[in-house]
Amino acid sequence: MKSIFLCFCLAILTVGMTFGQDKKVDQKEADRLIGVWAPSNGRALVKVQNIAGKYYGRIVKLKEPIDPETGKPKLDKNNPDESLRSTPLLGFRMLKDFTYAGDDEWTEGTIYDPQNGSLYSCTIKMKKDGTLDIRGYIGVKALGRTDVWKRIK
Amino acid sequence: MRFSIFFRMGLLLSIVGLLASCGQETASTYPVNNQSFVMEGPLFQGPNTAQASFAPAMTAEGELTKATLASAVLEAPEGQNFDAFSDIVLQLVTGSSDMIQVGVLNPVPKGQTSLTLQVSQEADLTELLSSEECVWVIDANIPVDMMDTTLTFSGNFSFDVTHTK
Repeated sequence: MKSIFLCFCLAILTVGMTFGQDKKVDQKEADRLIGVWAPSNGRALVKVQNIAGKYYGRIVKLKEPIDPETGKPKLDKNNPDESLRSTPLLGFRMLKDFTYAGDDEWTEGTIYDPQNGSLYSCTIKMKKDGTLDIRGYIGVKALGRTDVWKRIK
Repeated sequence: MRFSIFFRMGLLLSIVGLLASCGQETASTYPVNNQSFVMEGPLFQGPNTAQASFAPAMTAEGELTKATLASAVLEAPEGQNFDAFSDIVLQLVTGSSDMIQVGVLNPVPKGQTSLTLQVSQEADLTELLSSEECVWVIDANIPVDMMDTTLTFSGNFSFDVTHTK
């Protein structure tokens, strides 16, 4: 009787430990998005970090940081909210609110295009070679556009 | 017959009164003061981040139906100023809702110990302020590396909120 009880306790302990390990592995997998990434156009570097359990990417370097029209650092001059158009592009969070969905994919986020002030739904897929497929879309994912980002750091 | 008319009028007035009280809106200001921010060094040239969190606890009765940021003021510690920053962006986020930019100051004026940010006129914060915990995220560009420096400052904020009973 004692041995049955002992086996039962061990089984519960093993299951509990297995679940705990899975959670750790998931977090480690999810955090692979953290780092510095270069979009294919080479105009910027984007640093991804985790805030409150979600992933955010901000512009940490601009190839051309100065606006040729003003001679000053580039601003988010196309922001639909006029009161925020003095926001500098350097430091701007263009990737927002991503959560890890498993299978090397981060979803439920948005990507902002400062060129036209548009916000798109976005998914991120990490490929086997370590690059990211960043797919932005409005409404239907199939009708979106994909850009490939490479890890810098 | 007369009783019936009075009864009907009374009933009608009661219903009208009930409907009027149901949709009653109460506007108020909700302050969130003494939020403490730490930007830990080493700080590298470019954007750096500081965070602070608070649990919304509004005393007004009813459901929160509208919320916008009315003011955002940052205060430097005594004897210090904000000259380390070239610009500041203020955002708000919760674990269950999207991050929203709510303020900006660009450029940061030199020699100031207190900064009043320009706040968004459009950002609707109703969903965020209905959460259990909100996180302020401040991004500030720093023009030069500051390897041995940790910057601290505080923030005083107020929201315009509307509750509906």
